[in-house]
Amino acid sequence: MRQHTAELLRFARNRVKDPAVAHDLVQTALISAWESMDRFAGDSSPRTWLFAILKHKLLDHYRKAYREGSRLSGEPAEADEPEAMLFDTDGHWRSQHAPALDPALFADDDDAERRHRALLHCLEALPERWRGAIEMKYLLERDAALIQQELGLSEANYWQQVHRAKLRLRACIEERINPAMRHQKT
Amino acid sequence: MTALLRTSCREATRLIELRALQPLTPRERLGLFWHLRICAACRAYRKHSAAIDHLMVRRADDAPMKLGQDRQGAYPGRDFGVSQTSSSCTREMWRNDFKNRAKNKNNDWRYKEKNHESIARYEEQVKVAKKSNRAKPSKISGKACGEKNIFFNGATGSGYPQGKVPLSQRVRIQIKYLNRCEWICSKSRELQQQHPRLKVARASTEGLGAEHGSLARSSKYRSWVSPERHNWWSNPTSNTNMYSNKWKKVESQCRKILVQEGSETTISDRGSDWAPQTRSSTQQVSLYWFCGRQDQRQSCKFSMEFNKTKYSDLKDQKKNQKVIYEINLQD
Repeated sequence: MRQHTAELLRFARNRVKDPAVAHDLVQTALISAWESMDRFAGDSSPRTWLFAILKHKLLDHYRKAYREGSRLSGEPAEADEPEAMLFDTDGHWRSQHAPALDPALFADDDDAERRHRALLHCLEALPERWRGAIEMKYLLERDAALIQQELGLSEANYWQQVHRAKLRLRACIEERINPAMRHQKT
Repeated sequence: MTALLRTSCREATRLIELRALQPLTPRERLGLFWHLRICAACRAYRKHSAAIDHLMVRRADDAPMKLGQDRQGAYPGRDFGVSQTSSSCTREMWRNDFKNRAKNKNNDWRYKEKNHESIARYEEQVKVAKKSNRAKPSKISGKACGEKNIFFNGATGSGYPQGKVPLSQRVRIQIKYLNRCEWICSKSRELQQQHPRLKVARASTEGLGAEHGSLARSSKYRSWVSPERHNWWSNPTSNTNMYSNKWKKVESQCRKILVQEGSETTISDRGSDWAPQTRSSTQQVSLYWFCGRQDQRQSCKFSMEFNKTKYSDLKDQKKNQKVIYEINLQD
């Protein structure tokens, strides 16, 4: 178990904003694993089993973060929404924010490391509840029904969260990878 | 018609996200289609969105999931590699191997080079341990054996809509010896049965039976296992060999594969047999090895060359990525 702790921590740390929370999640996952050791059938490797437990803890965390975020801050202010910033009143891209098909951006080349760093940075910058929505999308292997069940969201609301998160994420990564592009537009 | 053309960019981007997970209504589909025809920004967004999906599921720190369920890939930041495992050689494995090969000594050119000394040394250690009431040594010293897992990540399904997977990968593993090893065997049969998708091309020649007979006999794999040339290859713990198709009746731990210098195998996530095309997966193969021959150097090394090829890039060999791992079997 000890040998996997570092990997578990790294996994959690890249999915949760606060390192202390990541530590807590790994801690609780390890405790759960310890408690349910006798139920471990040995069908998978211990490592896979530990990660499965951690993923459930992460799901719990996202669910909680989403609900608390809704309760404390309510719906985000209109100005804070990426849609209002990116699209005009007719729903068309504002010229300075319109995505451009820059071949260097997101291209399948050797620059994956830089894009990866940009992604992590931009995920950190996302509000917790949006991040929860988008992380769950991948953690639950993009099973929409399962995600909605987990978060207790209505379908439309969930897609709104994912859409907003994705819009902001895309703009952020573009800005970070190719800041010159943004200046050209403006 | 005008209503369809009225789909806004805001709506189009929402539909782009939505359609990756659930089917759109005909009206939505048509609206998005026409909008993408006329809007370069949304076409760019579509590409960026897929790229972000790809990045999200291939984050470098990801963990392995159960084989067959994992669309994200176990090591998203790495395409292939050798995971760390500890040596799992036991005294019994070592001794059985020695005994079984001794039975076939007429066919085994390596027989003369067995490490009798190593066995004798072990027996001596056991005797000493018994006398002095110390713990029995668990491993034979001086031998080189162990196991390592090889993995590679399939890229299909990551960020692409199901059924529209443009890319696939195949990884060619070529084992090149720096110093001769005795044998290497693939994943244990028991594990292969637990995880039906855990198959490699080589495993398929022995595990899938008659329908892959032609594959097994193709020249591509002949260099890998050739019972004609190495009849000791048949696993002494079973009563079958790779062409008998009786493998289901046999409970064997581990099948010996003679690995020759330059032999190669291909792991692929493309094809209906060992991985559906629309999923990415982490293929994992365990190699167990024994280095029976004791050379001047007591360790045994081999290098494995991983050569990743995207199917779409097959014509452009420059895009291939190559990684060579050197493994010291005595590690």
